[in-house]
Amino acid sequence: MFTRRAAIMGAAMVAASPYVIKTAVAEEVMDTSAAAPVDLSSLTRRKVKLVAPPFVHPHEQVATTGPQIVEFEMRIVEKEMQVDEDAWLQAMTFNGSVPGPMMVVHEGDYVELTLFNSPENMMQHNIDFHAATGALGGGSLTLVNPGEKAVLRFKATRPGVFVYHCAPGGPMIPWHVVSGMSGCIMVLPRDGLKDHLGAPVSYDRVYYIGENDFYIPRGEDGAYMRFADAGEGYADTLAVMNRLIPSHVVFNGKVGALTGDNAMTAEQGETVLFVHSQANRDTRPHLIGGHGDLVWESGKFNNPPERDLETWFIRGGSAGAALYTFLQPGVYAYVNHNLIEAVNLGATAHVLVGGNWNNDLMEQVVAPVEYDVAHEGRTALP
Amino acid sequence: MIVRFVLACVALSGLVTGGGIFWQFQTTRMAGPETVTIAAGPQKYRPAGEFRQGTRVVDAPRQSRDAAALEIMKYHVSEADYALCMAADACPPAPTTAKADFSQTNINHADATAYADWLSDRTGQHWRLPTDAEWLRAAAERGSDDGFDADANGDDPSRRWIASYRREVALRGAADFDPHPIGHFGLNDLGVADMAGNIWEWTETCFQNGTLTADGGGITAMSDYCGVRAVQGKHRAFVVEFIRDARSGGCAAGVPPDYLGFRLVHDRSS
Repeated sequence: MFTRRAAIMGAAMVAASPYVIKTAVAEEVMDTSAAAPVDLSSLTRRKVKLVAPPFVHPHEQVATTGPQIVEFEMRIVEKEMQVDEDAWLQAMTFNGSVPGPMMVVHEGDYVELTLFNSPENMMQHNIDFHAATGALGGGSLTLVNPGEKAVLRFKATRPGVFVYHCAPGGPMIPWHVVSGMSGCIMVLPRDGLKDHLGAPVSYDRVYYIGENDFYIPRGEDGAYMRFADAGEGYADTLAVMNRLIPSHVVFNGKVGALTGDNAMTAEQGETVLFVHSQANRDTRPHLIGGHGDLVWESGKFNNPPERDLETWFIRGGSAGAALYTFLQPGVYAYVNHNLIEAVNLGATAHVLVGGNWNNDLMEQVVAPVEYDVAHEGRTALP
Repeated sequence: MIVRFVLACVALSGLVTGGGIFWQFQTTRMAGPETVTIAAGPQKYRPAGEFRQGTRVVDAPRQSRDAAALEIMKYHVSEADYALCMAADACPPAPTTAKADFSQTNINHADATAYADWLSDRTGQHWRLPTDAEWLRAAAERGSDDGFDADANGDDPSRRWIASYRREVALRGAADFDPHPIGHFGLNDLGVADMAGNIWEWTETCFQNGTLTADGGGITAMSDYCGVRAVQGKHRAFVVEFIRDARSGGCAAGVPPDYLGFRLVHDRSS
């Protein structure tokens, strides 16, 4: 029986076959079983339970052990998600959230991920870690059908924050990514983060902000189209994607996901690490009323951080990290400083910071008051 | 305000001279909409806007006053009502859901005022938008006071800022973007329908900047900024007067309303 599911699977298969090599890389499914074995029996193992963004699982900033094998599990879930009050997406997710959960290990650790593709899913999926070396970032070793699992182990050799995403071949790649399948891994130096002079720095809190661009088609009545499953929406979505103009640009999968009751919190004097990833499109985070004290704009900790940034640039397909100590209480907006995307398309988060106002840093010297037009303000213009 | 009045007069005289025959058909008096009358009585009211004591932003004092009798429309102006005004070319076009018994939303302040002028003309009565205080009287138990506790009126401006953010999030709860038929949100204790549902209503009240007396009990000076008006619903909001959909912006401050609509008061004082 030829079903929609079969059609989608077929499309993925064709795209993944070596006969249709029109994309930048040749996708192929491989295995490593014939290569020389490696003995890791001397390493200890540690299991980590992932948590949904913007939160990050508990972790050491400075490693207190030698390299370990760190075991993670992730389940791929295809499900409909609401991305705005009037817009729904047939999302594809790592572990049920958009973005997928952030993983944290140390340089020299081995990441061992068990990837489950739920049997009720419709499509093949895999995972490409930008932090990993070889086999399309692990993508060629992890292509799993619904009901299958795969286990990938890679050595975290480069410290930094890196994107991971689904890349099941051909046109499936961008579609899966803009349907929500991306996340981030942070590989910390074993001795922790360092400032521009090489002195150790640490954070009191870490928030992971995954930014997504969605391309939701509108129907003839102007309303966003809602689909019964991902396959039904493919053709219409592709048409919007190929015009490169997103309908939504959001943090944490939804307009308003990090505002209101879900706003991030901090206290005056606390140092917060904001990790920001975008798997598909450039973005420019900015903390309104604050700064980036130390910013790894390209996200790689072997490079010294930049200091005192107003806005930092995250290249599409990468993650960056910004460390900031809050000096003043109040409401901060963390935005993509393309303000059209921030205000009209959704890329705004809030941080509520408690503490005591410091008039030395800022004071309202004169509250808004009517001025004498005849006598005041004449010296302002040249 | 004077400029606006003059412009309205010009438009009216144009109608009279330019459309003589049409005017004749219009002279049949229309009955006014169903209203609820609230007797004169005392009201505790906190003015709408930003108030300062010294350089601190604080709550406006909640003052007791004698409110006059009020006759207010029981229901919102519906799509069917507004369509009549549009058909007469007296109201600017507004989007509709094509459901006659739904409240007319996507309305800005000028649209609502145009409707009031048209209705006044057709009924021979004086209809206008309610003031913020009048709306709160009619809202009765569904109205909300926007005063804060002492901590948010203290020396640290960040406390008020965060308190305001949290309250608006709590007050608003889950936004409701489904249009509902007139009457969906029921009557309040006074018999006024659909107060503080998912439609925020335009008021005539301008954004006020005020200064309090040293003891905080009175207001020494107040000036209006009419480019922004108070709108009322689950919470008071301030919306730029030309905005028709405040959901994704257009809000001068705070959490935006779900929908913008209106009802009118029958002013018997003139």
